Amino acid sequence: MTVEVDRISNLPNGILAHILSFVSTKEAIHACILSKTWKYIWTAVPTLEFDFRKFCHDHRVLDGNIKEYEAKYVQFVEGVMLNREALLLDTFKLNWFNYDCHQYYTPKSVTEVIPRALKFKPRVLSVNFHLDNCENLDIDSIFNSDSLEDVHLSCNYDLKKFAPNSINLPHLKNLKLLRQGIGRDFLNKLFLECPVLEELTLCNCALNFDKIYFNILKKLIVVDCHRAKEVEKLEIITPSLLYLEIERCYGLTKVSASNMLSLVDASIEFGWYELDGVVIGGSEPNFLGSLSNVTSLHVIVECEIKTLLIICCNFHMMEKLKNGASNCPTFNNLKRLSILWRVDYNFDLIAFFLYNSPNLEDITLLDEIFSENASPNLGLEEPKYDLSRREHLETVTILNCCKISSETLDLLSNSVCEFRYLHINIGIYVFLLPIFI
Amino acid sequence: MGFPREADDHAEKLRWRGVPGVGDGSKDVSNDQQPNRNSGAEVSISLPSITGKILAKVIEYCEKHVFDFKQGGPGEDWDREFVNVDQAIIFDLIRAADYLAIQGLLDLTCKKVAAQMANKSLEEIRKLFNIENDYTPEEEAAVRQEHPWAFFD
Repeated sequence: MTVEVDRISNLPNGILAHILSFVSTKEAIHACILSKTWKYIWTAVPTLEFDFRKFCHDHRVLDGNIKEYEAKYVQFVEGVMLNREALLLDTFKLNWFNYDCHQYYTPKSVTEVIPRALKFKPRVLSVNFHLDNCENLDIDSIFNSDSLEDVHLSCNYDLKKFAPNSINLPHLKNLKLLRQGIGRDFLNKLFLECPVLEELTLCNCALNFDKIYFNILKKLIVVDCHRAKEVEKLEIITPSLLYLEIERCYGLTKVSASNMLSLVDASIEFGWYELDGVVIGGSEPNFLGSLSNVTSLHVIVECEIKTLLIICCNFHMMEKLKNGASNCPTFNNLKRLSILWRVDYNFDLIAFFLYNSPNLEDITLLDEIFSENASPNLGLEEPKYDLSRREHLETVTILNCCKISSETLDLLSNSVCEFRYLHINIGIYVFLLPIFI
Repeated sequence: MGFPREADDHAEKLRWRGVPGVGDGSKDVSNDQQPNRNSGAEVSISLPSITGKILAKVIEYCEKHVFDFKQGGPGEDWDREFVNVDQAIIFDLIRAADYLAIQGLLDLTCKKVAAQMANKSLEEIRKLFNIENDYTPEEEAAVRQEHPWAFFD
């Protein structure tokens, strides 16, 4: 009979703490009961994660008992903060909001934990709150930390009205702001005082500024945001940007960007939104042009194609293109293109990209058009311009385009250059037509 | 970027080309050779406590992950399969990764052990890892009393 060996308990304490950093904070503490070796390991675990919502969910806490459990959980948080070693923290995550009397809230005793956690100089901070009274959160402590590299801040906090007095984040590389109001001053301060900021994500925010200006920013994501009424345009000046994503931004008008030479990948939604019955244009002329260095592009079309192309690059001069004169940008590096239509599609957009992308290898077409809204001629319109042949184009994938007629498909397969595969996924039917030329 | 090696079971001597981002290649060396701290240079490392078998696994990991910064790693599936091994091997890999300062491998192996611990009762964890409970019932009760806020459910 072989004797089973306890190989885990005689690992160095530092490694045991590292292992426990990957289980939940509660389990890490409970491990102190495993054996005497494990008694104090939890005090050195560099990760703390408190999630009251998850806790309620896991323990199936009924609405009536929430207050009671909340009190216990607050004691738990306090207990951990008081009893852990005064060692540096790597990651601190706090996810807390409760729904009581038709209102979301976070108890003050919890918001007060944040500045205490910051004293442990964490590298990563993730805070998810619901704050109706902003004064409780010590926002300055978050924005003046010399250790933070990665910050995820989600709370109803109007940074325009309650901006931090100062910002000093010398090591911040990645900032993600959700459900905040963001003003011009705050953004300017961010640019000045975050010298190594590489990634910025704004999600569900109110945009109260007209310029995003970051010299070394590599990744910019703006989704589900809406603009403040006073702001008319948005200028993006990010010369080092590698990845840009703009989607579902209500009322984001007149977006323009200086030419982003380093841009590799982009996912952009072009849309027109109505505000008080007035149709507002979504992009400045040549916004599409500023994306011309990308290798991979995802275009979401939320508006009429014609208008999109005319405004974006004087497409009506397409006739002249055939003779060589062109105002349109050339997508020299573009290899992968995908187009998602939410409103009427036709071939012009495909023709446009085929013409301007000499090295295109892969196209994916996808639609989310509801049949009630679709025009009766959907997909049947012949392209006004010849579809260019592209020698590197190997794959055209068509997904979910239930309304692409067979005539359109024929046109596509006949006029586009030699492509090997045409995948069509219509509902549950998957056709695979290898075409060998 | 190869790892030519002369190996024998008890004392491996590894010619380690310091791979940027994968181990720092500047471990203390055996008496007769000085470390060369320039990455890309050859360093002789004496590894008395790592068997040939474990070393082979470590090298396999490093070779797969050496280009992580440029073109991403081999993917989660490969990593998952890589740590799908006996407990004894996992712990040896942990020690090796710690000694050779290979953060990626250390994280991967520690996460694997943590995943085995998660959502299990204390008794199940003890059984899985053969941990002997050296608390008397009184001692255990005392620990629980020390931190009542932790044991509220």
